[in-house]
Amino acid sequence: MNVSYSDSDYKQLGDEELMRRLFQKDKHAFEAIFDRYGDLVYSTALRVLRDAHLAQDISQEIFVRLWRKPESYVAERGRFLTWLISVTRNRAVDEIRSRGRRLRHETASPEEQEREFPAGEANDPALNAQLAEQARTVRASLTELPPEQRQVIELAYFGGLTQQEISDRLDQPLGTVKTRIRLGMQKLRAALAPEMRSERI
Amino acid sequence: MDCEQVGQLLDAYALGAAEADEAARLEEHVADCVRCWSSLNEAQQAAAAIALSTAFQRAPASLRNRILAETERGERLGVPKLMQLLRSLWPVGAGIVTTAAVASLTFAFFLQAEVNDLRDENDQLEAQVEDAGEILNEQRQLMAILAAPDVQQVRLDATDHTTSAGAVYQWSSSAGTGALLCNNLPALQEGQEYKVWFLTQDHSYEAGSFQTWDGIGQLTMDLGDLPELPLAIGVSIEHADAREPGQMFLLAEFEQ
Repeated sequence: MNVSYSDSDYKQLGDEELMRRLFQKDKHAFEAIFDRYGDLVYSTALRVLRDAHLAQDISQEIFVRLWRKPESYVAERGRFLTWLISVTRNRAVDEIRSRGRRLRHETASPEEQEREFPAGEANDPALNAQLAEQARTVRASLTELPPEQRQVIELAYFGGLTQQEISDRLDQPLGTVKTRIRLGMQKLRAALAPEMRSERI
Repeated sequence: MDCEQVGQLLDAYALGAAEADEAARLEEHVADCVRCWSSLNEAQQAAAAIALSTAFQRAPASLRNRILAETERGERLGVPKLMQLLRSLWPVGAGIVTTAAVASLTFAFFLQAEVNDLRDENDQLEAQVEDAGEILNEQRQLMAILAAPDVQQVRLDATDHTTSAGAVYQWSSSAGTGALLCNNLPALQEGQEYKVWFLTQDHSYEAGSFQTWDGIGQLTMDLGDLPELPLAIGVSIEHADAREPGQMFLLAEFEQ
């Protein structure tokens, strides 16, 4: 990691403290946030967009906006990591939609995606230890879901499809899709509850 | 929508998979229901965790440099500060001319100061000085229009009612120039720009194009080249090489 700031103490600071400093236009705090989450933001955008150049553009936009408008994150509404991921995913999906879903049509089938972005064991050289641990927990939880539930959840989250669009794409009744999403997410929430309560996720 | 219906839809909403009308009704309910708000928070936390399941890729080193350079660039020109100032003075509704003139004048003073400061720096800043100088010239043109005794104005509304974007077009026949000031514009994709068109019964004439900064954009136009009296003015989002307008994003008709 290309760390240019000299004060390594920033690495030890929590997200909320870094954001507090970011409000004061502390460039070191901004660099520390990027070094902590830059790979995660880029990877999330890449997974949705499946285009490295676009993923870089979106990541740049997210971080530059964070620097210029840190007030867009409101701590009382939830954790910084949750917010950052949501903003990234939503912006990437907006990008797909604004391009007339051209990118989405090029999106690989779930089977191809599985080969390309395995949700099971994966080598995570880009992750710090804490995030890597969280990632393992989430992957394990997703892997335990019935494949049809995991498929609709991933099509919604990474594919940016609505329930109706998933129904059309999979040629399954809308009610079936809704039920799969609800059941899958209930199980996921239950599996991740300890992590969420301890605010590790 | 009641609590039970919200409960049925929470997960789909958190995944971004709810239909727009359903999402709007859910948001309306959640805004007034603490219990559902809490449940939604949980669902969103779980949804965000899904991103952690992806196979992580290291972001290219150049991305970090690009981002840091971008933050430096904005700071050096002081543009966000200026835009905040412009936004605070943003003209809405009637009587905007005076406000816009003050905003323009203040903006011009700021830019002049920026230009002066930048000239004192090294050669690497020359390009930025040039950019700021161009903007300053635009602001001077704008001031000339606003100061003209025959200045007129029309407000452009967004054709897509889901956006809060808007614009004001002001022109002076005696000065032979017009200026368009836009606010709350959505960001453009690479290769795109906002194009301004004068529309007649049978033709559309491109008046120029502009990019946005933080949702704000403006264009000053020489009206001397217009071959016929336009019926409307519109702004569309186009690729730079587009010669004909697509769907108008902002539009206003002139009183004939």
